[in-house]
Amino acid sequence: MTVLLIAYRPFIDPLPIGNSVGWSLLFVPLVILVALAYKTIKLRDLSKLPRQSAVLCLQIFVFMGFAAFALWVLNLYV
Amino acid sequence: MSFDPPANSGSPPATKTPGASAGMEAPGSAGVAGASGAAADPSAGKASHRVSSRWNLAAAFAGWLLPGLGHFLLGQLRRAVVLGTTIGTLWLGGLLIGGVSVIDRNDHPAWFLGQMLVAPSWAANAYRSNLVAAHDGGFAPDDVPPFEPAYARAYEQGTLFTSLAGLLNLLAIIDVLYRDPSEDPTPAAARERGADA
Repeated sequence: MTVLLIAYRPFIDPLPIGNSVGWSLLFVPLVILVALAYKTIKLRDLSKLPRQSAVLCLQIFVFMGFAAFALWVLNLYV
Repeated sequence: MSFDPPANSGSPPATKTPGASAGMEAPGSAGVAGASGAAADPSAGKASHRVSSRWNLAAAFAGWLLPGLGHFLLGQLRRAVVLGTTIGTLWLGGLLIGGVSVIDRNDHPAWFLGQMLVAPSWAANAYRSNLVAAHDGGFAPDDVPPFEPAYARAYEQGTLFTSLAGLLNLLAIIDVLYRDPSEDPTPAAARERGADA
Protein backbone atom coordinates (compact mmCIF):
# COMPACT_ATOMS: atom_id res chain seq x y z
CA MET A 1 0.00 0.00 0.00
CA THR A 2 2.87 2.39 0.78
CA VAL A 3 4.27 1.86 -2.70
CA LEU A 4 0.84 2.55 -4.17
CA LEU A 5 0.50 5.77 -2.16
CA ILE A 6 3.91 6.99 -3.29
CA ALA A 7 3.09 6.23 -6.91
CA TYR A 8 -0.41 7.68 -6.70
CA ARG A 9 -1.22 10.02 -9.57
CA PRO A 10 -4.49 11.98 -9.27
CA PHE A 11 -7.08 11.25 -11.98
CA ILE A 12 -4.97 8.34 -13.28
CA ASP A 13 -4.89 5.96 -10.32
CA PRO A 14 -7.84 5.29 -7.98
CA LEU A 15 -7.93 6.76 -4.50
CA PRO A 16 -6.79 4.16 -1.96
CA ILE A 17 -10.14 4.16 -0.14
CA GLY A 18 -10.30 0.36 -0.04
CA ASN A 19 -13.37 -1.12 1.62
CA SER A 20 -13.29 1.07 4.73
CA VAL A 21 -16.49 2.65 6.04
CA GLY A 22 -15.24 6.12 5.08
CA TRP A 23 -16.16 5.61 1.43
CA SER A 24 -19.83 6.04 2.35
CA LEU A 25 -19.11 9.70 3.21
CA LEU A 26 -18.73 10.26 -0.53
CA PHE A 27 -22.52 9.96 -0.63
CA VAL A 28 -22.83 13.44 0.96
CA PRO A 29 -21.14 15.52 -1.77
CA LEU A 30 -22.84 13.34 -4.39
CA VAL A 31 -26.33 14.20 -3.08
CA ILE A 32 -25.49 17.90 -2.67
CA LEU A 33 -24.15 18.20 -6.22
CA VAL A 34 -27.06 16.28 -7.73
CA ALA A 35 -29.59 18.46 -5.86
CA LEU A 36 -27.83 21.66 -6.92
CA ALA A 37 -27.64 20.65 -10.59
CA TYR A 38 -31.23 19.43 -10.71
CA LYS A 39 -32.66 22.52 -9.06
CA THR A 40 -30.54 24.81 -11.26
CA ILE A 41 -32.29 23.34 -14.28
CA LYS A 42 -35.71 23.17 -12.67
CA LEU A 43 -35.99 26.58 -10.99
CA ARG A 44 -36.92 29.67 -12.92
CA ASP A 45 -35.72 32.06 -10.22
CA LEU A 46 -32.25 31.08 -9.05
CA SER A 47 -32.48 33.19 -5.88
CA LYS A 48 -34.40 30.23 -4.42
CA LEU A 49 -31.63 27.79 -5.33
CA PRO A 50 -29.91 27.38 -1.91
CA ARG A 51 -33.17 26.76 -0.02
CA GLN A 52 -34.72 24.49 -2.65
CA SER A 53 -31.48 22.49 -2.99
CA ALA A 54 -31.23 22.08 0.77
CA VAL A 55 -34.82 20.80 0.89
CA LEU A 56 -34.14 18.33 -1.91
CA CYS A 57 -30.92 17.16 -0.18
CA LEU A 58 -32.87 16.57 3.01
CA GLN A 59 -35.57 14.64 1.15
CA ILE A 60 -32.97 12.42 -0.54
CA PHE A 61 -31.17 11.75 2.76
CA VAL A 62 -34.42 10.95 4.60
CA PHE A 63 -35.85 8.65 1.95
CA MET A 64 -32.54 6.87 1.38
CA GLY A 65 -32.31 6.42 5.14
CA PHE A 66 -35.79 4.85 5.13
CA ALA A 67 -34.80 2.64 2.21
CA ALA A 68 -31.61 1.54 3.96
CA PHE A 69 -33.54 0.76 7.15
CA ALA A 70 -36.17 -1.20 5.24
CA LEU A 71 -33.51 -3.22 3.43
CA TRP A 72 -31.70 -3.85 6.73
CA VAL A 73 -34.92 -5.15 8.31
CA LEU A 74 -35.63 -7.24 5.22
CA ASN A 75 -32.14 -8.69 5.45
CA LEU A 76 -32.68 -9.60 9.11
CA TYR A 77 -35.98 -11.42 8.76
CA VAL A 78 -36.08 -12.80 5.23
CA MET B 1 -28.35 25.20 -35.67
CA SER B 2 -29.24 28.77 -34.77
CA PHE B 3 -29.96 29.87 -31.27
CA ASP B 4 -31.16 33.36 -32.12
CA PRO B 5 -34.00 34.53 -29.93
CA PRO B 6 -37.44 34.46 -31.51
CA ALA B 7 -38.73 37.78 -32.84
CA ASN B 8 -41.57 37.83 -30.35
CA SER B 9 -40.11 38.32 -26.90
CA GLY B 10 -43.40 37.39 -25.27
CA SER B 11 -44.91 33.95 -25.56
CA PRO B 12 -43.38 32.59 -28.76
CA PRO B 13 -45.81 31.34 -31.36
CA ALA B 14 -46.34 27.64 -31.69
CA THR B 15 -44.61 27.33 -35.02
CA LYS B 16 -43.57 24.17 -36.73
CA THR B 17 -39.91 23.29 -37.08
CA PRO B 18 -38.46 21.55 -40.15
CA GLY B 19 -39.01 18.32 -38.27
CA ALA B 20 -42.70 19.09 -38.14
CA SER B 21 -43.02 18.48 -41.85
CA ALA B 22 -42.21 14.86 -41.12
CA GLY B 23 -45.17 14.65 -38.80
CA MET B 24 -43.21 15.70 -35.71
CA GLU B 25 -44.60 18.53 -33.66
CA ALA B 26 -42.36 21.46 -32.85
CA PRO B 27 -40.59 20.84 -29.56
CA GLY B 28 -41.77 24.06 -28.01
CA SER B 29 -45.31 23.98 -29.26
CA ALA B 30 -46.76 21.77 -26.58
CA GLY B 31 -44.88 23.61 -23.86
CA VAL B 32 -45.77 27.00 -25.31
CA ALA B 33 -49.40 26.06 -25.37
CA GLY B 34 -49.04 24.90 -21.78
CA ALA B 35 -47.31 28.12 -20.76
CA SER B 36 -49.98 30.26 -22.41
CA GLY B 37 -52.67 28.19 -20.80
CA ALA B 38 -51.00 28.57 -17.44
CA ALA B 39 -50.93 32.33 -17.88
CA ALA B 40 -54.62 32.42 -18.66
CA ASP B 41 -55.68 29.86 -16.11
CA PRO B 42 -53.37 29.30 -13.14
CA SER B 43 -55.16 26.07 -12.27
CA ALA B 44 -54.22 24.60 -15.62
CA GLY B 45 -50.70 23.84 -14.39
CA LYS B 46 -47.49 25.81 -14.53
CA ALA B 47 -44.47 25.63 -16.75
CA SER B 48 -41.14 26.22 -15.03
CA HIS B 49 -39.66 27.92 -18.09
CA ARG B 50 -40.73 29.58 -21.28
CA VAL B 51 -39.78 27.33 -24.15
CA SER B 52 -38.31 28.28 -27.47
CA SER B 53 -40.19 27.70 -30.69
CA ARG B 54 -36.97 26.38 -32.24
CA TRP B 55 -34.33 23.98 -31.10
CA ASN B 56 -31.09 25.55 -29.83
CA LEU B 57 -28.97 22.84 -31.42
CA ALA B 58 -25.62 24.68 -31.37
CA ALA B 59 -26.01 25.63 -27.72
CA ALA B 60 -27.04 22.07 -26.84
CA PHE B 61 -23.95 20.72 -28.59
CA ALA B 62 -21.81 23.24 -26.70
CA GLY B 63 -23.43 22.04 -23.46
CA TRP B 64 -22.41 18.49 -24.31
CA LEU B 65 -18.83 19.60 -25.04
CA LEU B 66 -18.54 21.44 -21.73
CA PRO B 67 -21.26 21.38 -19.05
CA GLY B 68 -22.76 24.85 -18.62
CA LEU B 69 -21.46 26.21 -21.92
CA GLY B 70 -24.87 25.85 -23.58
CA HIS B 71 -26.56 27.99 -20.94
CA PHE B 72 -23.71 30.49 -21.18
CA LEU B 73 -24.33 30.83 -24.92
CA LEU B 74 -28.01 31.49 -24.22
CA GLY B 75 -27.05 34.29 -21.81
CA GLN B 76 -27.94 32.36 -18.66
CA LEU B 77 -24.66 33.12 -16.90
CA ARG B 78 -25.61 32.15 -13.32
CA ARG B 79 -27.21 28.91 -14.44
CA ALA B 80 -24.14 28.17 -16.57
CA VAL B 81 -21.74 28.74 -13.67
CA VAL B 82 -23.71 26.54 -11.25
CA LEU B 83 -24.21 23.76 -13.81
CA GLY B 84 -20.59 23.87 -14.95
CA THR B 85 -19.36 23.75 -11.37
CA THR B 86 -21.67 20.99 -10.14
CA ILE B 87 -21.53 18.67 -13.15
CA GLY B 88 -17.81 19.34 -13.64
CA THR B 89 -17.10 18.60 -9.97
CA LEU B 90 -19.10 15.36 -10.16
CA TRP B 91 -17.22 14.22 -13.26
CA LEU B 92 -13.79 15.23 -12.00
CA GLY B 93 -14.62 13.79 -8.58
CA GLY B 94 -15.44 10.44 -10.17
CA LEU B 95 -12.20 10.48 -12.08
CA LEU B 96 -10.29 11.42 -8.93
CA ILE B 97 -11.90 8.62 -6.92
CA GLY B 98 -11.67 5.82 -9.46
CA GLY B 99 -8.88 6.92 -11.74
CA VAL B 100 -8.91 6.79 -15.50
CA SER B 101 -9.91 3.10 -15.53
CA VAL B 102 -13.53 3.88 -14.56
CA ILE B 103 -14.15 5.29 -18.04
CA ASP B 104 -13.88 2.25 -20.26
CA ARG B 105 -16.11 1.98 -23.29
CA ASN B 106 -15.17 -1.64 -24.02
CA ASP B 107 -15.20 -3.19 -20.55
CA HIS B 108 -18.37 -1.57 -19.19
CA PRO B 109 -20.36 -0.05 -22.05
CA ALA B 110 -23.54 0.35 -19.98
CA TRP B 111 -21.83 2.81 -17.61
CA PHE B 112 -20.24 4.51 -20.58
CA LEU B 113 -23.72 5.27 -21.96
CA GLY B 114 -24.11 7.70 -19.06
CA GLN B 115 -20.51 8.87 -19.03
CA MET B 116 -20.45 9.75 -22.73
CA LEU B 117 -23.06 12.47 -22.14
CA VAL B 118 -20.15 14.60 -20.95
CA ALA B 119 -17.85 14.95 -23.96
CA PRO B 120 -14.53 14.87 -22.03
CA SER B 121 -15.36 11.23 -21.20
CA TRP B 122 -14.50 10.38 -24.81
CA ALA B 123 -11.09 12.01 -24.34
CA ALA B 124 -10.55 10.12 -21.06
CA ASN B 125 -11.55 6.86 -22.76
CA ALA B 126 -9.15 7.53 -25.64
CA TYR B 127 -6.36 8.42 -23.21
CA ARG B 128 -6.90 5.20 -21.24
CA SER B 129 -7.00 3.16 -24.47
CA ASN B 130 -3.71 4.72 -25.62
CA LEU B 131 -2.08 3.91 -22.28
CA VAL B 132 -3.21 0.29 -22.55
CA ALA B 133 -2.14 0.02 -26.22
CA ALA B 134 1.31 1.44 -25.47
CA HIS B 135 1.82 -0.98 -22.58
CA ASP B 136 3.36 -4.34 -23.40
CA GLY B 137 2.84 -6.30 -20.20
CA GLY B 138 -0.15 -7.11 -18.03
CA PHE B 139 -1.53 -5.32 -15.00
CA ALA B 140 0.34 -7.23 -12.29
CA PRO B 141 2.47 -4.96 -10.03
CA ASP B 142 5.67 -6.50 -11.48
CA ASP B 143 4.61 -5.46 -14.96
CA VAL B 144 4.61 -1.75 -13.92
CA PRO B 145 1.18 -1.00 -15.43
CA PRO B 146 0.49 2.47 -16.87
CA PHE B 147 -2.29 3.00 -14.30
CA GLU B 148 -3.69 1.08 -11.39
CA PRO B 149 -7.10 -0.42 -12.23
CA ALA B 150 -9.90 0.51 -9.83
CA TYR B 151 -11.65 -2.22 -7.88
CA ALA B 152 -14.44 -2.47 -5.31
CA ARG B 153 -15.60 0.81 -3.72
CA ALA B 154 -13.27 3.06 -5.72
CA TYR B 155 -14.57 1.55 -8.95
CA GLU B 156 -18.23 1.75 -7.84
CA GLN B 157 -18.00 5.35 -6.66
CA GLY B 158 -15.95 6.47 -9.65
CA THR B 159 -18.39 5.04 -12.18
CA LEU B 160 -21.38 6.35 -10.19
CA PHE B 161 -20.03 9.90 -10.01
CA THR B 162 -19.02 10.08 -13.70
CA SER B 163 -22.25 8.47 -14.94
CA LEU B 164 -24.43 10.73 -12.80
CA ALA B 165 -22.52 13.73 -14.17
CA GLY B 166 -23.44 12.54 -17.67
CA LEU B 167 -27.11 12.00 -16.82
CA LEU B 168 -27.37 15.44 -15.20
CA ASN B 169 -25.69 16.94 -18.25
CA LEU B 170 -28.37 15.26 -20.38
CA LEU B 171 -31.01 17.17 -18.39
CA ALA B 172 -29.01 20.37 -18.93
CA ILE B 173 -28.71 19.66 -22.68
CA ILE B 174 -32.47 19.07 -23.00
CA ASP B 175 -33.09 22.27 -21.02
CA VAL B 176 -30.81 24.23 -23.36
CA LEU B 177 -32.47 22.68 -26.39
CA TYR B 178 -35.91 23.99 -25.43
CA ARG B 179 -35.09 27.11 -23.42
CA ASP B 180 -36.22 30.45 -24.81
CA PRO B 181 -33.03 32.54 -25.16
CA SER B 182 -34.99 35.77 -24.80
CA GLU B 183 -36.15 34.82 -21.32
CA ASP B 184 -34.89 37.35 -18.82
CA PRO B 185 -32.95 35.32 -16.27
CA THR B 186 -32.87 37.96 -13.54
CA PRO B 187 -34.82 37.19 -10.36
CA ALA B 188 -36.54 40.58 -10.45
CA ALA B 189 -37.95 39.89 -13.90
CA ALA B 190 -39.13 36.47 -12.81
CA ARG B 191 -40.90 37.98 -9.80
CA GLU B 192 -42.48 40.62 -12.04
CA ARG B 193 -43.98 37.90 -14.18
CA GLY B 194 -45.26 36.23 -11.05
CA ALA B 195 -43.53 33.07 -12.12
CA ASP B 196 -42.75 30.35 -9.66
CA ALA B 197 -40.77 27.17 -9.95
